[in-house]
Amino acid sequence: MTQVTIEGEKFFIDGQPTYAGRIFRGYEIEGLLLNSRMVQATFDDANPETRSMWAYPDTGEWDAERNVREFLAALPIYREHGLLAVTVNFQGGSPQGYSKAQPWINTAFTPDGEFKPAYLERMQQILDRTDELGMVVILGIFYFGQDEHLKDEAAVIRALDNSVNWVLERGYQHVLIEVNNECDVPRYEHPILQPGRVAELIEWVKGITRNGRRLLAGTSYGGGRIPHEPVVRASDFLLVHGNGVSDPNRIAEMVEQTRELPGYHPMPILFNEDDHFDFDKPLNNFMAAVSRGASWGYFDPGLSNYQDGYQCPPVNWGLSTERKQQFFQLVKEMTGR
Amino acid sequence: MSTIYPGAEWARVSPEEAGFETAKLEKAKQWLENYVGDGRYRVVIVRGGRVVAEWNHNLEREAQLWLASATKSIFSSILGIVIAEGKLPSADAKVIDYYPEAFDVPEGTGPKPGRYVFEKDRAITFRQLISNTSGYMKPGEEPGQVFHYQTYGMNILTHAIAKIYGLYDTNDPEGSPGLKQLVEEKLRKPVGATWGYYLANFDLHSEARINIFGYYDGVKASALDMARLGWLWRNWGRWEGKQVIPEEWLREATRAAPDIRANCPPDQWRYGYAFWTNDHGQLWPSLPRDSYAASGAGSKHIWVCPSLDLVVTQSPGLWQDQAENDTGLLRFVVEACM
Repeated sequence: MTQVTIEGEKFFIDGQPTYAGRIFRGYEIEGLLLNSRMVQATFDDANPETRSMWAYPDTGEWDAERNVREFLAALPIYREHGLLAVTVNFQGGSPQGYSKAQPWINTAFTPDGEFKPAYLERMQQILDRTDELGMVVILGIFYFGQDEHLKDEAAVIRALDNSVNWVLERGYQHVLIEVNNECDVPRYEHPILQPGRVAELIEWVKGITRNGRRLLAGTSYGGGRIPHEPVVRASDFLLVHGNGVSDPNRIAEMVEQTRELPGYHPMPILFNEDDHFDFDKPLNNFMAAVSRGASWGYFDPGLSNYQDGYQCPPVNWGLSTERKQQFFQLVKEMTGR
Repeated sequence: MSTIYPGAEWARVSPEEAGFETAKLEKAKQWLENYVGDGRYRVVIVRGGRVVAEWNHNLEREAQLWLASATKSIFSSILGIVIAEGKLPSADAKVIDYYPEAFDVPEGTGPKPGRYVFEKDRAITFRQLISNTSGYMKPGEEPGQVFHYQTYGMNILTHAIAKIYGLYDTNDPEGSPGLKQLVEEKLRKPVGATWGYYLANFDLHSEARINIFGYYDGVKASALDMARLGWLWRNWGRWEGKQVIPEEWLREATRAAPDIRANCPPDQWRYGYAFWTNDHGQLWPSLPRDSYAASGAGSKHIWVCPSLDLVVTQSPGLWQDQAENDTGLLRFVVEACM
């Protein structure tokens, strides 16, 4: 089993720091967890009125099993380029990149917080394959566009409890829990998923153990924003986003400000969502994060054209655009693969 | 920024600096003043390792009052330490293997008619004792099946642990050092408290084998020293670089116990391993789910909320049932948090 651990600000896999000894353009890469947002890997849509929006161009139909199958086939390519982690989510993300109204229904949970078996099966395939490849999964549990499908707070907690227990019972040791995507987006229906209370859920995750083992946990914040103190205190790692941050200097500043927060103790800081690229330039958000010892995560929203991006189904999980190729090429150079 | 711990004295901080809205925190004090009448209260609020507020009414701040059953949470902490030290293989060890005397209570020698040791009691584990699901000397209650808050089960737990360390002899219960010696060494000294102890007993009939299931050690402490315990628990057993109580034990102890969740109705999912817990929102529906407490008669309370980095002690408070804190003092304190 692949095992992820944390020592100070560094990630370790199977007892070794990631990218051990690696320096790139003068910056230490050792201990980082370069990642990509792939939250639609388990996507499906239970709303018959919107399901046709995700149809594959060749078949004219959406196929959730084909989607995960193609994602699984792409994982070794990511790994070969040096990517060590992917972010997935039991409630996905916006299948239009960014959305206000989200009429589709993409959630692994019933209204009571129990699992829908098909979603669990797809996620299991992902966790099994990433485990084999020596990769880490940042497993998001909730998304603000879908949390309303949980009927009440008890259902939210039941869903989280089921998720954590499932991961532990299956013995996975390569999973980091992201309680919810961008907890500070003011569209979460349930107060316990909002910044004022989400630390309770981080503590909840940390309180579940199996054979002396528990999962590492945190949550993420929206683009350009840094965490609140209760989240900092409760978390094992801090997730921030670079969406909307067009100045790489702000990315660097975010990392520095996060380290100054009350309650901060040495722990990894990761960007696991940033929709800025410019990989051909010497200074971009990716490099700015790395320059401050923070990991960075690719978020390419794309379009529902089976070519662009990784967020709008039907997703082409390969390196199907120049932008994707540039990202993975930079990862490859950075990590010395 | 490293965790702050008190030295000989607690450092003090203003409400604003501690992340409170002063006006809202004042409402908590006002609530106390409105309800105290001819009574008394003593409240300490700690956040971030510093005292934010200390409110005393008709009571000296240094007075050491009995914690009563809040001491049970101390017993739980000791049990976690005992397991970590290897004196017990796990909480699922059978008590009879360590304190067989506890099961030599035949009919007529129990606390009251109908209460004595039954054959089914021989299977009782330490986990069941600490979660009050043992059914010890309770007819018809199989071990692990029923949540029944009882002190006799806790008493034999303390004697069993003390006996493991050679500190309890049923032939000389009042002359035995008892569990308090472990509490002294493994909790009081590490956290720098100055609390005291008392030995109490029940007034039972002459045939009752109180040397076996009677006698309990209690802690008496000031509200400030109770806050030291709360701060130790808030930091999951860690005190100034030392893991005093195993973190894993405390995290488990402050959630509803497995036997309770498996066999009791949801409205009883409020008790872990001698900690009262809000993890299912059954105890204080409006307070954070990660909060828990040590609680004792006489309105003694050490409430801990890790997500808010907060400890509130009441010694005493103004409640008859600790569930009242949901709409009382603790509700105002939580609402004052920024």
